[in-house]
Amino acid sequence: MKGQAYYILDGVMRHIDEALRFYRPRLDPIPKGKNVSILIESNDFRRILLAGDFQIFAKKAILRFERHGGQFMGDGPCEDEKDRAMRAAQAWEIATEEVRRFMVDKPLEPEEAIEPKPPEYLEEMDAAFEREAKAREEYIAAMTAWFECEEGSS
Amino acid sequence: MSTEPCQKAADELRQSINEWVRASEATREFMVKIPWDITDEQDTVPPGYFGEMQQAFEQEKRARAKYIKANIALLDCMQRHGFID
Repeated sequence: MKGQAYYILDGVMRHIDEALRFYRPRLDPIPKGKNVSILIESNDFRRILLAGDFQIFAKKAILRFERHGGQFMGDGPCEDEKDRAMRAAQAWEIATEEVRRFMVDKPLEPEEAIEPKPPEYLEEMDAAFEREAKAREEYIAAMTAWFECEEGSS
Repeated sequence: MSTEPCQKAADELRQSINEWVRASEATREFMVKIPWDITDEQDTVPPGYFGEMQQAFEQEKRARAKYIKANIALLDCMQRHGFID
């Protein structure tokens, strides 16, 4: 299977090189063309490929690799929970960015002029906070499920 | 005692904004702690972390509701007195 995987990934080496250059700080140095089997079989590398700018190409390569019986190593019992937690965390991060623009940074000075916000502004603000609350609930639920899974499987 | 017609409503809005600022500070503490490098492994959180987090957000929500109420009260007052359309 490793030979097949090498064959499939022959054409993607330049993308792998690109990924490695971009993600170098997050990975141990891997000499070009060596130890590729370790690299391509790791879930981390799969995630890195999918997070990069060449997702379509990476998805195709991964699909072909799996269709030919290739399996990514490291698929732990809590992989789904972890993926859900990661997605929830990112969604929450985006939602918190939205509410931040409505939040006041510091208390008002006594002499500072004050003007009420129009109703449309308040509605928009409320909607953003609602989205944040939902994203936070999903984040907590997903993280809790992941931690419980990890505890249960250790 | 103030002679401005909407001074009381303005003071209440100012106070509610300042309370909201304080309440939202507690939530920011949790927001900036999110670890979100996709390749990072997430360690478990201390016991009660999510409970504390939710409590902080609940306080922020209450303070925000008070701020919205005070904001609307000032708007109404200003409209009643013809300061705004």
